Amino acid sequence: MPRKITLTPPITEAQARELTCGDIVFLNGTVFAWRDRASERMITLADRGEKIPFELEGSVHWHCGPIVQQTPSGWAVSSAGPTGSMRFSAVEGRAIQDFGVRLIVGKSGMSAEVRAALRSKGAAFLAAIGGGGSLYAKQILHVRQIDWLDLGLPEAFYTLEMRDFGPLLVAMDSHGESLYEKLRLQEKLEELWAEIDDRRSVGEIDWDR
Amino acid sequence: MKETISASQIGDLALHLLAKAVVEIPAQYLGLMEAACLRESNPLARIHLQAMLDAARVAKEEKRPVCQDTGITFFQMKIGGKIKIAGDWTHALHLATAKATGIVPLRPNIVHPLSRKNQGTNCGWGLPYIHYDHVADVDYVEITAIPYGGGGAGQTAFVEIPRIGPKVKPLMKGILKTIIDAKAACPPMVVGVCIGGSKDLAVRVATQAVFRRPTGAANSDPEARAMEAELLDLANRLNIGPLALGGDTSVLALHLELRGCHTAAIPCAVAFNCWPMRIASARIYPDGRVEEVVYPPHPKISGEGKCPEK
Repeated sequence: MPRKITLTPPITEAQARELTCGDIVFLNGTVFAWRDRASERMITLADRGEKIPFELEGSVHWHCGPIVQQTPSGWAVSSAGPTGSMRFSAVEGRAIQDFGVRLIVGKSGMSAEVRAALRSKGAAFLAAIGGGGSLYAKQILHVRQIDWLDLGLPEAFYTLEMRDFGPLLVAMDSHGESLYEKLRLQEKLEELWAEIDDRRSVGEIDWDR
Repeated sequence: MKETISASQIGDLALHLLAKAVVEIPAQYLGLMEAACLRESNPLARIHLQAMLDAARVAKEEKRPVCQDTGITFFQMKIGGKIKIAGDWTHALHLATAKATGIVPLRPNIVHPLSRKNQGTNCGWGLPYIHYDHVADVDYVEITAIPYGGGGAGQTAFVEIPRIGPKVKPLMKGILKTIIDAKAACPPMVVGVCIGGSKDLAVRVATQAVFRRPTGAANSDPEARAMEAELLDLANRLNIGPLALGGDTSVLALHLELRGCHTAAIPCAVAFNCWPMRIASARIYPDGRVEEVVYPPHPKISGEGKCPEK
């Protein structure tokens, strides 16, 4: 059975280094959710040497643009799940190195650059269920703040208070491990290609046609 | 005199279908997920499949969109030749999309490609995407509403193969490679393939093949059927698995279509949908009758989104 670990941000280096691939994490407390346009703005600010107006040390990033609705009692989220993380590799590499981000929640893995940053600074990538928006939205206790609304509703910067946010699977850890790399997909593909080369027909189809 | 269906009836039904599609994954499709869960030998993959089924159940029960990415709105229409439509039905579909965006709500995804301006309606600059077929012999309009998520839609690709030499093996290999390259699209995926056509037709047919129903039903053409069965089997040996973290089900269904092509060419396009299959169809008749188009799950499967115990 995988280990179940509950953490409350801000996350320390020691807590992040304790996580290993295959652990299941639940989070309580503040999580920042954002996506493409906000990542561009963070890079722009960092390049100009300006301060990013959020406390990133020990923070948790969630690659997510939720469905939100304004209600009399504030913003309500009906669905919120991870978006693909690979495209945020450059910004997260820097966020880990320079701003002390400790946990990244997303999907489908990140680059070798991020893997190196996770290792050198002590941080981890947690895989959420893509298409699990209905489940995670229920774990949002409340939307504390929405910044950068000028980027558009899906692209704004969300500060969320989470309760039992999970299950999140540690998929890349600070020990250099990555569950994605272990699959050896390229080798599998080449095996199947060799098998196809040896075939002559399937059904009514001559494969050498 | 042909009987008449009004554009506003079409708009009302489109709104209903769009609202339904984002929260309710078809039972027939959930049946495929349940069957995958039963077959799965990787414990982590089983946990993921179960979580997906839970997400689908919660979405339906609480009317929460199963995925926050409610996508680009895609309408497939069948317009019967025995009826006529009074009013501007494409405008009615635009209004339905804008209305759904406000009241469901949908995430307002659509922006201008360069300025990135967002009108907040999921409309504008040629969207929603509407495709229609004229069906001569019927007396209804069939609307299929598809909130086509960016994760799946973004993976559409051509398979390029040498124009001189054999075709089948390079196509099979290229399609498998394309499936691996699309692994970020929230697998297990539904894959649509079109071999032949012009390039633009190949993309459209591959996309429509993704949404062929019932999902997983074989093509009636024996060559296409043999190839899609073979590709499905090979794809599920890639070990992409649910969420691309390994497992026996990478592709839930693979639908392949063949189209005639120019003697000098062999276009092949591959399109994808993520595991949350958002789709709802219904027919409307001139007397105002509405008939939802639904497909039953496999008789041995509940279709209720429960991962069967082994």
